[in-house]
Amino acid sequence: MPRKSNLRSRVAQAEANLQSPILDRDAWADAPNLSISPRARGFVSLVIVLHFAAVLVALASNLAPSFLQGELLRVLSPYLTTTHQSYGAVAIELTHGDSVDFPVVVQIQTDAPNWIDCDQTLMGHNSIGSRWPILARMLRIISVDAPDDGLLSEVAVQVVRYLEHSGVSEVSAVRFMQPHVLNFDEYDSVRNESMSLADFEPEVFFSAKVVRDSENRLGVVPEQEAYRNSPVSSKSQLGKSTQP
Amino acid sequence: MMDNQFIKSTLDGWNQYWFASRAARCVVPLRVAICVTTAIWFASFVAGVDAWFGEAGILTPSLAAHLIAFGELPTWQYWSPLWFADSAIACKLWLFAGIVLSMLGVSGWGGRITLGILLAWVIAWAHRILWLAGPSEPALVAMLAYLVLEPGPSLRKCFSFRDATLEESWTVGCALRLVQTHWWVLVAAGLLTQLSDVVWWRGEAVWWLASAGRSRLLSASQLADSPSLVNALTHGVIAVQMLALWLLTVRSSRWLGIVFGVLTCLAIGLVADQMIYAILLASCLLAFRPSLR
Repeated sequence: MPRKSNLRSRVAQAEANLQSPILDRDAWADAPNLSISPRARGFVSLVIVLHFAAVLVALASNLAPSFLQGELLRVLSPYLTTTHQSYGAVAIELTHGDSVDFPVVVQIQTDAPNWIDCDQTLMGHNSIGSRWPILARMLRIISVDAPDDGLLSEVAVQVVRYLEHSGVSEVSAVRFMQPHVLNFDEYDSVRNESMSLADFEPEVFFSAKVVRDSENRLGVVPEQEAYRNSPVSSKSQLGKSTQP
Repeated sequence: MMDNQFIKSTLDGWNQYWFASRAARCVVPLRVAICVTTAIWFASFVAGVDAWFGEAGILTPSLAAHLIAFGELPTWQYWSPLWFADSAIACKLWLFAGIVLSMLGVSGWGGRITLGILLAWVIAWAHRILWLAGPSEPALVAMLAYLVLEPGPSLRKCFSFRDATLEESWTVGCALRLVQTHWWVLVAAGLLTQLSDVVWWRGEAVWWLASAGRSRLLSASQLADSPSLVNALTHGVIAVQMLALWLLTVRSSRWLGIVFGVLTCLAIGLVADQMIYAILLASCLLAFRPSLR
């Protein structure tokens, strides 16, 4: 009997020795071995809560911020912006099938009157190195939500400057164009030749003439939409009352 | 009494989640992966430096000032030494130095100091690129900041099997939890934003990605004959994200959650075209490993 119990205890001891304390346990499941003082724990906990609260505000405001979110972002911007934790219409949703998710093509006119697509190496949208689609998305959002010809004009000037520096002949006009992205049915119709791509008009959301001053510095003059132009008055009507 | 027990259990749970000690070497694979991702991120800008930041580059400081003014934020918040050295050469040097710093971060040489400098280097570049930044930049900055809290031992110590790598610290557990939590928040935010539009409910989103040329893997011609495939892929992208978010919170199914996390990253990187973001999220999944003590 004593020999059996000795044997059992020796077997149990051997099994205990075989079990490695390192490999045997799920480290996340065991009781915490807290090596941090309660005061430090409180401070770190507060930092964690504030940090993730700020991040959550930034993410929640990404798509379409409310007035309250806008105010919170303004208060939190010294933290969020300086640490580059701010979001603003970033495409975390991958796509919504909106125009802001579609490619933007820069077209130019040089000597010939037809529009030419710019070099897709820069504007290409399937290159891991191309950042144009991200900037183009922001420009498209601006053109839809907060039209700012000044901003779009400045981007256009810089694009023209870059293209001419890259060897493109003198640019006379530039525009930002979105080709029509076919939905499933439209694609099927084009494939079946019941429709053609020419049936789908691209959308031009910015167009401008390129001008140069006496020192050959570039500028652009955005083309106004027809309803934004004042009607041309004949000389005989100048100074007369407009009342019927 | 019940309230006290509830408060106590909540606080215990909080302490268990954030402050449990872990072995220092647990964070090493995560650090290696994130620093390699950082190097890839820096390298991704090299080809386009002349176009964006060169002598006739598009994103000039004057345009950048206009973009900052449009956002109605103070310029100091977009701090970066690169505003003072605006040339393609300076930018290229910055990128190459960033790659070197990333590799030092991989090795673990310099510990927190190296990672702290790398963090500042990344933020400075992210501020210079302004509206060229996508979803990967804020996530990358956050993950590097968490690694500054606890970078772990150097690779040399790990390969020499020193006992110091098994030393436990609350900073290790806290850093891993920060990465886990941030990953979960990012994927959840992306999922909720997707579901805010009907294209994901109707199973059309993958078509729009392919048709707009925003899918690395798929094209419209490949999908045109299979509307069911389009729907299946779209619903599948949603499903894998939901499953990843759920299964990663359940201890017993952590490995399965990691598998669905990888599928989520494949969807973001290949079905869409956010490759660097996908690589970063995949790297962060290393924080979810049921780790050794």
